[in-house]
Amino acid sequence: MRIQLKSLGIALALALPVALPAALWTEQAHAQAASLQAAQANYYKHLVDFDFVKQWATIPPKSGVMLVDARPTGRKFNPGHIPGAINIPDDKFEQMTNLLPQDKGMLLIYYCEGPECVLSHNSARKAEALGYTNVKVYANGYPEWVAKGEIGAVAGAYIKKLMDEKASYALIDSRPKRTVDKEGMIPTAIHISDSEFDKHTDKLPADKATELIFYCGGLACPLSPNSAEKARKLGYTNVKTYALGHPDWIKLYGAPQAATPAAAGSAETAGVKVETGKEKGSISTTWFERTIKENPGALLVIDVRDQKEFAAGTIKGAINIPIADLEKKIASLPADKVIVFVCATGSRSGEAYDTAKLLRADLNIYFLDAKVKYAGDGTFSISL
Amino acid sequence: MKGQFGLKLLAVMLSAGAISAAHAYDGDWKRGRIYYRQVCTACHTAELKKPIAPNDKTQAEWAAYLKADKHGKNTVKHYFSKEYRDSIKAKNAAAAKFADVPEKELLDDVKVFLNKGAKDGDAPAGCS
Repeated sequence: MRIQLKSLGIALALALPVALPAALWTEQAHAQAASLQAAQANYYKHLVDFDFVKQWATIPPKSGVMLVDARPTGRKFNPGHIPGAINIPDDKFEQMTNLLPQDKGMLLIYYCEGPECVLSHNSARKAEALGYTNVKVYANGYPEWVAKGEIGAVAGAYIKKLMDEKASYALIDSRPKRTVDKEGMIPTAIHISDSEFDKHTDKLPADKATELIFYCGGLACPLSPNSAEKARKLGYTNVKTYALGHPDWIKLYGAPQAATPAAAGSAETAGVKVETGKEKGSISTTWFERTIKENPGALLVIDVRDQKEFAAGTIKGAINIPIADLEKKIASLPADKVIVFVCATGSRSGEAYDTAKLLRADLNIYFLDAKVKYAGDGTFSISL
Repeated sequence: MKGQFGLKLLAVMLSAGAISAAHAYDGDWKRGRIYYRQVCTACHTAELKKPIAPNDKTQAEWAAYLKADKHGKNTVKHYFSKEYRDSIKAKNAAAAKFADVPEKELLDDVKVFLNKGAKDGDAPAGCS
């Protein structure tokens, strides 16, 4: 008996460290399994998977579908959601039905925080009760979206919160320079255009765990998702996009400061000190001649005569925009160069100056108010 | 006495001249040029495919055309009116910028420009 008891004791002592945690583990798993079971019992009848959602959450967004995030706004949606989704928290369903589409046959895809979350299923049922006929639930939700390697989107309000809290983050504007110069950036953003991403990776924070948020022109713009992917390949672990981009920020918080203040009337631009001429808007002819000889790269010379005249002979390096085409092409002119319009007598170039001033006040423009003879070999001579 | 009267007369004449000079508006041909290309030729190339260049007519022909004030179903003046400018200003930068210019002034601007750019003007102007 004594030996049996002792062995029993030893057996128990040996078993306990295994049994107890095992019991606890099964308790936890049991609880999880129970809550999952409870959730599953409440699942909506039409479920979809990741591949289904992925084909609908595209850039640019597809029409005929609305992706709805049923999670709480501040805690869940704002810091990360499927790009393109709108937020209708389940507990606000009744107050926000105006956000649902007019077309009751439109595909609605609800999602929330994963298999144990019932918010999306509840909302889906309510939508069906309102008469929506094409409602689905992406049961594995946002956690699976992230686990599958997709990049989440943040809301403008989340970025504002980071700014106000002076949190550690990097906000990156992925648009081209001419857009940024024209429209300005979101405050605190740094500029790394997607096309020149590889050249400017030194601007990214050294700590690869820093939260990076890329943005560009909105849901149809692929630049920020492209850059975000490149950042991830570099090893950054916390990368998101602000999918609604710059236009959304302006709607929420107003126009930001210009990245480069408009240099109206200033004669110093990009390190070039321009000497102006007698006529308003004109450039000094001697300064122009000297600069073409010694530092031609400082200027963008635009010959506004017609194609035939241009082909017969122009200033070396000049581009041709006939005066009649100027209005059409003005959007493409760079704001960061000194632009000089030239023609044959100073008449058309003067009109080009007046026209450009009317249409694009942000440009640094001058015109050559002089009679110009073009030799045909790229050289020219000015008579006044 | 005579000197004083003469001086007074001179003063009156000068001030009368000054007043009439103040009322006379010197057309701004540069503004006329912009309005002409951005508003007039914009239609004439897009809709009618027939550019109308200043140097298509002589000064006398332009003066006669403007005096007759006929433009298809409308008048020429119609295209300088504030109503017309308001109706196109959402898509036309020149119409927007000059939205508040008195109609007569804008017409004078273009008259001066056409006079200058006519076949026999100071600086005959084509479209290109």
